[in-house]
Amino acid sequence: MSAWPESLTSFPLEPLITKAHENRTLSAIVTEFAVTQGVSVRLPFVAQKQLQCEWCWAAVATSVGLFYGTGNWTQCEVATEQINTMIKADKIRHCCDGLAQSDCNIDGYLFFSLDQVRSVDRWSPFRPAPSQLYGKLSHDKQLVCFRIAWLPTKKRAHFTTICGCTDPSQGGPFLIETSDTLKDYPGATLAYDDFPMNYNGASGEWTDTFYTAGRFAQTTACGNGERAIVSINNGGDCASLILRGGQLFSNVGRIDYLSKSVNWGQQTAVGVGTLGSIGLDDAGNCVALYTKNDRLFYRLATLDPATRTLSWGAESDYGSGQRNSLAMMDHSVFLEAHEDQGILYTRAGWLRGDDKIDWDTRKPFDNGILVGIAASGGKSCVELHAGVGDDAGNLFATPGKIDFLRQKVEWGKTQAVAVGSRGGVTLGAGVRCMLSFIGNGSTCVRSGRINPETNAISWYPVQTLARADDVDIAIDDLGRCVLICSDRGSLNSLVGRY
Amino acid sequence: VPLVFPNPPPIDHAFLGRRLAQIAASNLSGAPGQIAGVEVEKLSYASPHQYWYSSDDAVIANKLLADAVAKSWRFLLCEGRTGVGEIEITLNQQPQVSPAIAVHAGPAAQLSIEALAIAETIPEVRNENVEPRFLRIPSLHFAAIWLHREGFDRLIPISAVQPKLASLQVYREAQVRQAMLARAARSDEFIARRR
Repeated sequence: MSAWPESLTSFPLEPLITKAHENRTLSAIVTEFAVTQGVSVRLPFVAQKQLQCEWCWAAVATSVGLFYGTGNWTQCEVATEQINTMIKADKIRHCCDGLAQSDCNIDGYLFFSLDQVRSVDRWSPFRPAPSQLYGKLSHDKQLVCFRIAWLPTKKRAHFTTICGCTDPSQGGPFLIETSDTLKDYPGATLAYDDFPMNYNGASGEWTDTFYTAGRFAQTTACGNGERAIVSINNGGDCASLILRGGQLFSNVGRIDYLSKSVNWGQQTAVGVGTLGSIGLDDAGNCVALYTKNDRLFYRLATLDPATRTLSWGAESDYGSGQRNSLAMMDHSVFLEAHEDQGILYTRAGWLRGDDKIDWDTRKPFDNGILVGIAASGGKSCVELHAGVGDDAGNLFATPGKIDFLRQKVEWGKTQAVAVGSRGGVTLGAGVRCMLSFIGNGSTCVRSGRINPETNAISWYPVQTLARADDVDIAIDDLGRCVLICSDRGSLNSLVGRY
Repeated sequence: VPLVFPNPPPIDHAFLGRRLAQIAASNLSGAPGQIAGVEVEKLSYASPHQYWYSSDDAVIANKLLADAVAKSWRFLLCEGRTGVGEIEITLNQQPQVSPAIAVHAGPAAQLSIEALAIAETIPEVRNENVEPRFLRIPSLHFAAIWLHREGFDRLIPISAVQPKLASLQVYREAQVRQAMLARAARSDEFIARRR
């Protein structure tokens, strides 16, 4: 222990509190306040200390991303990407390699850094009301970050995070707790009214609010079924194909991205069969694929924008096989994949406009079972399948480049991506790829990013969600996604993002 | 006694006691019953000193200390002889009415105690009374114990964010200013990067 300064005198703190309360005991005072103040909330968040003096933005974003479990983020990796893409794109810097003192130790953008770690919800120029802040922390379990401009010059600013607060509805003082990235300043507990005018020994001005979010909201019940497949378009519509007791049903939902929920409509009977897949494009074209007795079938429908329902056309047989899957693309074109005798095939399909499909010739691309296919922009695709033999129990993914003129897919390198049973795959614009699968009885999600130059996918860590028996996922071009899970016969949907 | 801690102006002790009770009753600043992560019964507070802040403009203008502003009063929270946190009290125009109270946990308290112990070994401090202050330049992430009397100023940084300044070493104002000048001069580059 270091020496105690002889000039310094100390006094017990407890009497300071008890004297102010007519000398009642401390425990009685604390108990009384605990009751009258309501339930305070403190999220288990501890901001990392910033590794460079200008890196509050990188430290906040990294800490928030780690809090939501969206990846194994590090400050120097976040800084490297931000500086090279958003701040100083004149040359490539490697901020994990000792350049940090010079080129890398610079100010950065929190919004784009939070977006990089897939933890941004929205930005606002306004300071949240106490009830709004309490709701974010208590109900949504979401951190709120903000920017302080230091007075009087406002030339310099600092980003930090509110991780706890008292309940403002109880009428007591609204207190907040911050978790800060500064080395000698882990944060403060103070009245919201005093913040940030009295913060970190100085006066600050609140200039920006950054609402953060984990990737998935709470589940919404959406009926019963043993399995379901989901598809979404860029207009906020979503369609599901549900298997229940050997019968197939479809359902249409409207996605509310603000409340992060799906307003599902009434289910419509599609027919007898086994899933199968469903695809919905931005024009409202909808395709359902399913199988019966090792034969492949489809039905077509158009989404009625007024009633938000699907009226299915006649059933059509399109060949032999099992477990068919499809991915809608632009211009009434889609990519189909299926399994036949342990061989995986793919081909393109063209909606003719007369309730029929023109099919390309199917082409084999791998061995396996339970194949799923995803495509985006008419150029990129990803297939996901379960292994067989020595590879049983593993899921494999392969990126591909679609060449419509030659009616083929140029496949990249196949990677083992998960230990688990059946999975779903989806692909959005901007090379965003997502997998869903069941691992140890729970819904698992894994995001990846395709490198178009190498035709390979870089995968983020697996995120485990709720218990389920089966799951499927669909993403739109903005990175918003919907999961649909079945758990012991009950179906639930979750709205989230890449 | 080489270091002379000034007496703070009158503080609304009833308000302070209530605010500390409110914090202790919540799960902020530690679990219920705690402040700065320590049971209230185990906490003591040390003689207060004033909290001053300065700016990057003051560094550039060579007025690091001359332009510093007294902002609040700082009470170190201790568990035994270890610093565990701080209570910062900012007085209003009417000192006895509802001061702003902030509680901090973290290493700054212990580092301040160590800096004060080092200060007592400085010959100029032992020979004549010196007022200890706490100086922060938030925009430059600089924090130090500031030893002051007429014609004498020394700074003991408690965090070595600046590469050219070591923690718990004694510096003159000019040395600190020189170490921070380049960074302070870059402030204009950062003004636009809001989001």
